[in-house]
Amino acid sequence: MYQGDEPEELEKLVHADARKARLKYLLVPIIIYSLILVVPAPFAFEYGFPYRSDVPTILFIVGVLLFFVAAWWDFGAKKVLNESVRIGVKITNDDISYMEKQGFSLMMMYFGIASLFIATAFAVFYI
Amino acid sequence: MEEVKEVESKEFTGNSVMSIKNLSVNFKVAEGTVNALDRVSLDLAYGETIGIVGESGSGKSTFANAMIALLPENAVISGDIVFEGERLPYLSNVGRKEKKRDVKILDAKLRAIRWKEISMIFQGAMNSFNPAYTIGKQLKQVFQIHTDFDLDQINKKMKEVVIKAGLNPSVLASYPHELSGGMKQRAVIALALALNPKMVIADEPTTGLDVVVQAKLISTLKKLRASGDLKSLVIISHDLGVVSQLADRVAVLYAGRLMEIGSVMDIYLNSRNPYTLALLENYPSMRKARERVLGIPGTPPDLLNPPKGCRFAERCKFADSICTQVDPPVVQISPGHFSACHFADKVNVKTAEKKYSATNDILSSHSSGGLPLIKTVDLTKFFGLRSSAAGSIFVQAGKKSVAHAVEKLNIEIKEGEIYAIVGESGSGKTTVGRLLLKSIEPTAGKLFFNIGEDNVLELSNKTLSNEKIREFRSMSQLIMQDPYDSLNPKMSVFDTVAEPIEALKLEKDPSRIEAMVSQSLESAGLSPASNYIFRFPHELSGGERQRVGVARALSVPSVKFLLADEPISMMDISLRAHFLNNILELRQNRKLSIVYITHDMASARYVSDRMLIMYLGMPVEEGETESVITNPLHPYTKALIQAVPEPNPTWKPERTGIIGEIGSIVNVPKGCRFYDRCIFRKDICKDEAPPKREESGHWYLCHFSQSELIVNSPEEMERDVTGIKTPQGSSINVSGR
Repeated sequence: MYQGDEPEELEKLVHADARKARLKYLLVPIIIYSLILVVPAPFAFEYGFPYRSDVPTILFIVGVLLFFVAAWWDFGAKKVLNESVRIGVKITNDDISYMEKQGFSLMMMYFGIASLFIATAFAVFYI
Repeated sequence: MEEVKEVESKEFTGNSVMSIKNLSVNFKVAEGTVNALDRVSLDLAYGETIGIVGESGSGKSTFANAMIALLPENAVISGDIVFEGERLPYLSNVGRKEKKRDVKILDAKLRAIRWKEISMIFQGAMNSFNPAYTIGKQLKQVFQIHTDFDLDQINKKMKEVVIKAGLNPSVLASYPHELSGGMKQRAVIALALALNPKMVIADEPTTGLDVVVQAKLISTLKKLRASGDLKSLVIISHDLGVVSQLADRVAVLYAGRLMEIGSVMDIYLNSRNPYTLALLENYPSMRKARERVLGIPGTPPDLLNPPKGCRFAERCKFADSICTQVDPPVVQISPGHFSACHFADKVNVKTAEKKYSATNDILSSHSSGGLPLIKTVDLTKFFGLRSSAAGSIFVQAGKKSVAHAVEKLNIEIKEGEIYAIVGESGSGKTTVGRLLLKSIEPTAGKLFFNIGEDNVLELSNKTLSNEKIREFRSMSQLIMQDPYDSLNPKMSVFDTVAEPIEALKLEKDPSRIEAMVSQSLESAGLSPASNYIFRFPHELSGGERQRVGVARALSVPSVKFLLADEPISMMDISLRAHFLNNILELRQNRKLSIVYITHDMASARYVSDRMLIMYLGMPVEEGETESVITNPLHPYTKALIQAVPEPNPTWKPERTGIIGEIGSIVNVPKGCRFYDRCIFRKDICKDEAPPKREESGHWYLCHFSQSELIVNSPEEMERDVTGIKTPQGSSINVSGR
């Protein structure tokens, strides 16, 4: 009787959308990671930039920063919540738990990437 | 005022729940002393409802706060407030030198009175719920603090009290944001009635609510009074219609003084005070909506330096030299009816009609309009929670997350036409306004704007060049809703009005800009402009601020289209009339097309040529304003018109012909949008979209013709937000007005 009452097909699309959105969030630190590794390389080969001492430092600092970002950032959950209230979407405790779970999984992914930064820093420095 | 005090004491002695004698309240502020209340006396009898009316700043809320001893520390109080024979203790009168122990004793005394004996429905209280707690938890606190009930008793009492307030007990488990405005206000009423107090003070209890919800709330309050659940009531409002429905007696306040007091019939039908009569004459009721209203000239006096004599003299059309010299005597008109006026014997409804609607001209029919300026074709706007990456992640699959803000809007606004868009909050009016101003992009559909000489811009085209958009911006302007918040307090009037000229880079020469600003201030009614140009918002009255908003919109000379979004909702009656007249003059002088967005049918009738009624994002009826008002075709329009309050005690809002409150734009019905609230609904309405029925330019969306609109059961009309269904009964026809 209400519009949008038959969402079986939509559900699959929604899950696919969520996966894409997660990738978008992860893309930023991955791009930063790649840039830190790649951009100094030509300078190291051509102009003697101290790649093995400076790049690990930068990677380590950015990795630690990323831990803090992941721990403190709500990944836009608050904005979604405010928008839901503004347009009149009913929010239940179940929705809040779902948001917390999603926030937690994003945070863990960021932690993983931050660990990658730090692991790479050690690898570049020692290997 | 001495005379009032004496006579009233005789009338109500021994029978009063509260007796106020010669109450004066002065606030000490940096600039001096504000005389907020001046020797006000009145008695409230057991079981009586007294209404207190007046404009903003007349002292209504100060009076209410004084009755429950909630005045701030800078208030200096004289006179007596006696509640059930005992003088109300005042913390503010204790002073810093008093011992802490005394303060504690007074505090304890007040705590015993507040809420248990006297409770209050505060202004805007529905927005003061703690968003983190359920309604039940907040209601439970009242019992936990003031009673010794155990949990079972509290739960039982809570259920009883929410049902009394017209709510379903399931709301106890809801968070405030899950409830509509009307339901929240009912929850506030439940809080006030929780401890069965002897007296309830309701400060603007219906302000901020839509007319339909307001009418239903009035009905609930009436029922509570009739059942005895609401004992003595003090209702404070600037809305004469609301007070006329609920009060037994009415007191009229102006600039801190009591101007008139009497029974509701005395005040509304036989007033003998120029101020009361001015308020009544300027009240925007449907009955008088086509008559020219002149408003009350001037502004209330500065209470830092109150004028000598009658405080209303400067604005009074009956005033004489004596009024500005001598305090007016209190004249007894009939038993219980007193008026503070030098000319109380000469002033009456007939003489006031002559003075306040001097021209008495029924507004001639509005312009039929010229060429189309704006055209929309199936204009649609959806807001999706999943449109952002965060939304895609945080919104659960299967959860409805699309708001159908506006759907399939087809309108045509002509040059020089005032086009009203009317509906309750949540009907999509403001979204339409934002779409028309291109401040948001439509999801689907087309929007055209005629920039002149048959050059039509398609504003919905996303590839429109910046140059064209700037050209459109120079032709369209907005008047905002709130004259208090929409002006930057750090910007002078000049800076505010010159802002669009500078932003659109229309002029660089400072002297030319000043000339343009002066001209727009003059055309907005701020004359002479030199008096206003260097003032800051805090130096202006509410009406002047709104005019600055109009001047800002008019400062661009090429403006052809003006959008006024609820421009009078924050204004007093007197200011409303001035503003609406200003709009009519602008249309006449500058041939502007104006889209007037409002939930106030009466003002829409006063200014507009054509009218669109919206419900849950859908346009449901459109036509010439007079045709829509005098012959409403859609059930929603009928209900809206029935719900507009009349300042007349004989008006009955009990049957508004509508069920519950406006739904959610996220969960819209498949068939007719109005299905959930319609008293004429049938099965076909549930799943099939209604067709458009048209008669000579006046159309509505409904499955049924007027003769087919038959209510299934009389009880259907009584169904309330409790959602309690009643058995089916015989059919009655309530189509038409």
